[in-house]
Amino acid sequence: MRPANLIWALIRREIATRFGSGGAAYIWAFIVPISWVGFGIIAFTAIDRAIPISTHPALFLATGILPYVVFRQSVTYVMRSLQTNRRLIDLPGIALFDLFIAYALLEGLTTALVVMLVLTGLTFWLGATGPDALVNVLAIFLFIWLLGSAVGLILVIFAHRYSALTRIVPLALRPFFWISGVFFVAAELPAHWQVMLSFNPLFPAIDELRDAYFSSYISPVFSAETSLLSLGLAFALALGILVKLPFQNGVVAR
Amino acid sequence: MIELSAAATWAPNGKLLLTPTNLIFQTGERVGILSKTGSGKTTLARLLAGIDLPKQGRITRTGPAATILGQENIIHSYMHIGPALQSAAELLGLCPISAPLAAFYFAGMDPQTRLKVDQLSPVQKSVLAFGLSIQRPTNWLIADDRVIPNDPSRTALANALIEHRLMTAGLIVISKNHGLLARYCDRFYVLTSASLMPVDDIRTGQTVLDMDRAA
Repeated sequence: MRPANLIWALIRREIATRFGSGGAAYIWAFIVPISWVGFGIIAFTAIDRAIPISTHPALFLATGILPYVVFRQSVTYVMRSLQTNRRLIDLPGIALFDLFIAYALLEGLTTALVVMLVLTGLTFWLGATGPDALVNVLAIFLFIWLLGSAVGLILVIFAHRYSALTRIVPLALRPFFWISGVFFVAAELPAHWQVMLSFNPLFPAIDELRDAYFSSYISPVFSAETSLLSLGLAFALALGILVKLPFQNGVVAR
Repeated sequence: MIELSAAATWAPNGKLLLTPTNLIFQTGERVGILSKTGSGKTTLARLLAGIDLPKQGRITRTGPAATILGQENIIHSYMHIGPALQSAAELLGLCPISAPLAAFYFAGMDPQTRLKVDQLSPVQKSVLAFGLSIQRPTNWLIADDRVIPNDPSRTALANALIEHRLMTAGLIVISKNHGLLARYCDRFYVLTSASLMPVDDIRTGQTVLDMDRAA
């Protein structure tokens, strides 16, 4: 167990450097998902696509875009944690896992605030009903945050060694925006496509989020056991890479 | 005590930087390691400080982890000086109130300054970093080519702080500058052909290094 005051010091240092004294960076955290929801509505209107669940299009899109944002932000920020703080690792008492925990927690708290405010704001603004199963909604967001953090942890050592990765990974994550069920639900797809897309753990998770949020939808693809297994495998792979890779010397093994 | 037990390491390209070495540095010793440029000074400093692990063998330390002198990068450039020092103090395990004040005092700077760290000169930044890191309780100070900041107006005070710290801690200086080693150390080694060779005095060490260079 790492000292809580050290983790807290790392979080405050990151807040001070990432957000600074102005509010622009905080606002930016909200602008990105809200603008994506707006563009989604425009795109749906332009192609005359009806949403597959009986709710407002903005709420349908928000329940797809927000979990994707949580995943993407967790992957990219956790991945950069070592590269942007490599000198801190030289200090006695600070290890890679301290950076990982601090960055994952900060990103989790930031995106949780964004998710809460955007969904609550949309619900009140549209006069819609709240989540059908709030606990399940929170559990899915927790799962997606942990999955993104685990993928970030897998990439962190590689990004430390190959800095180009921090530019490549956000590009590589873009296809997941289209294949993770942000704009559609599993029930719309043929069975073989459901199986194919379920190899991406984000797809059944987003589908289950809609199941939990909207009483009128039941996900045909989500399995809690499979999702937990994918999460366990992701963390096991991350730890395996951190312990076994030859160039992790001085970063992990202290 | 720092004990090297058959400790060896090499660069990612396979170049040997330290052959298997058995050695003990006793707490309180002042050890100077003379080394030419490019022979693995920084690697050795990081090994002795416990930042990196040897590729073979073991290095064991007793007591708190060593402090490497001159780590300016712990003071974040994007922050105001006060909060940056507070943050660095917390990460070093120091009091976030008194430690920055002492660093300001050492640097001769106003603690109320509204400057950002990136508005400081490199020397000012290194003076602040030194003033902070020297406060950390440790059994070993390790210097990679520089013991005190390069600011003549702070030299006397910095040396007084070093001497005070060395009443309870040891010092290992790794440098190509034999004058620097002679100033601070009384036991000497030469890092030559990836081996740590003991020498009686720094002049002998320089001769060994010159012979190695000529060969």
